[in-house]
Amino acid sequence: MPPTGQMADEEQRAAETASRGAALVPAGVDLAGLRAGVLALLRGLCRRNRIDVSLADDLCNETFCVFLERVRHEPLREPDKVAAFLAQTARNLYIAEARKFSRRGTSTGADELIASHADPSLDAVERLRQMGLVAVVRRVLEQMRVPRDREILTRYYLKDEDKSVICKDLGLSDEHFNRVIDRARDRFRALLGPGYTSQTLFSFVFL
Amino acid sequence: MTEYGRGERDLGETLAAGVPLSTHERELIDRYLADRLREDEIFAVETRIVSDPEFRREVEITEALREGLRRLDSGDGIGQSHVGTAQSELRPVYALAATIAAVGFGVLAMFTHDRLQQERAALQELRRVPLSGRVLPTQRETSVSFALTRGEADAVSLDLPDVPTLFEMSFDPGVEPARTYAVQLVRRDGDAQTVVLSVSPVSPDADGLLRLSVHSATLPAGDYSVVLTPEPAIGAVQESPQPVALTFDLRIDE
Repeated sequence: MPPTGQMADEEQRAAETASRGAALVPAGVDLAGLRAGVLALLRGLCRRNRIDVSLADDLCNETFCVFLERVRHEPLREPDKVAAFLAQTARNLYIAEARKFSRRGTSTGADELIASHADPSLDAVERLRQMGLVAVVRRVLEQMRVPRDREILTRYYLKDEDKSVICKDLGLSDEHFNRVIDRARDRFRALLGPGYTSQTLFSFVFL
Repeated sequence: MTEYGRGERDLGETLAAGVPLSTHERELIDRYLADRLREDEIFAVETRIVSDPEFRREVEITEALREGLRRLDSGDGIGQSHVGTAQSELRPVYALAATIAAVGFGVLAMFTHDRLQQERAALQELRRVPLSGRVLPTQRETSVSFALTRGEADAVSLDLPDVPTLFEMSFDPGVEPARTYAVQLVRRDGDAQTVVLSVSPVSPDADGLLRLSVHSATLPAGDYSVVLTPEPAIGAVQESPQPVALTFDLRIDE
């Protein structure tokens, strides 16, 4: 779970974004909600590409600067396209930043190898959180009583094998495959519990 | 920088906010996280992430599940312990599963036997309450488990309780249960059969078991069959012309 101070900062920034943009966008546009969405998008991109997640906050602010600057010069005619504009702007800013990150040469392309040799004494809190997630996933697998179902889940989500290939190999129908995946996801969600939020989920998993 | 006002195209239009995720949308998320989408699909998904909290949550859940599997694999090697396409790799897993299942059934049988004995003893001590046709508030519960391996000659026998009792029955339809079943409780009296209860659809729970609660007032002494008929999914292509119904026998003694 992120520190309370960090969450309060985020809420404050969202409120500031909303108040700054309030005069520029129609009342129906939920800028605070969109900010949460842009931040989640950028954090996901950073996490999956092993770039410092704190960068997402800066990129999110930059995204809204671009957006507000844009609507200041050109009034918003299609409010329903705001999300699309923000998503595209955020991705473009992320790609530009990722290129800079790459040019700096701080990535060796062997992150997995390096991570596998991490000193276990370091960052015990993070390791505990990761163990929590592993325990949940292990429970999901244990509750899948049919070995073939576990095989479907791991081939699909771990090895990224194509659904059609898995179905053909195992002689499954689309419907059967979907049933196994949906059931596994439902169990995972149930084991995480009803109280989780994206904040707690990813502090639990990754931070 | 993108042109302001660029739309989500046809794909985005199908991703209407606020609607529960379809299989197509879930697969879109899966392929997004596996980096298998075209540019326009990525654009549609990321727009939906920004605008729809529920969709965003599904993306995060999926990402967490993938990450958890990856960490589990790098730690314990689930590729070794759980997964293997070759038959030789599967055999130990099946053997282990069979052993666990056998031990589990044994423990369950002992537990059920002890529990029924305890309940029988407890019933003898309770005052006698005449059964009526209407359903009374439940005072006690009796759990009965039915396994697919039970043979026809092995009908579950229960003593008719003296107090209103809710029979909690659970049925194991096998390793690959259908999505939903039509459940019928049929009273057998010689050649005559009377449907006591008919429920549809009933879905297996997270453990793959079908659960049915029946009040003792509706079950006078006699022989019963519980028939579970798999229901085809709506819109699904019927793979077999006749779904195979499962039958479990139950006897209620005086």
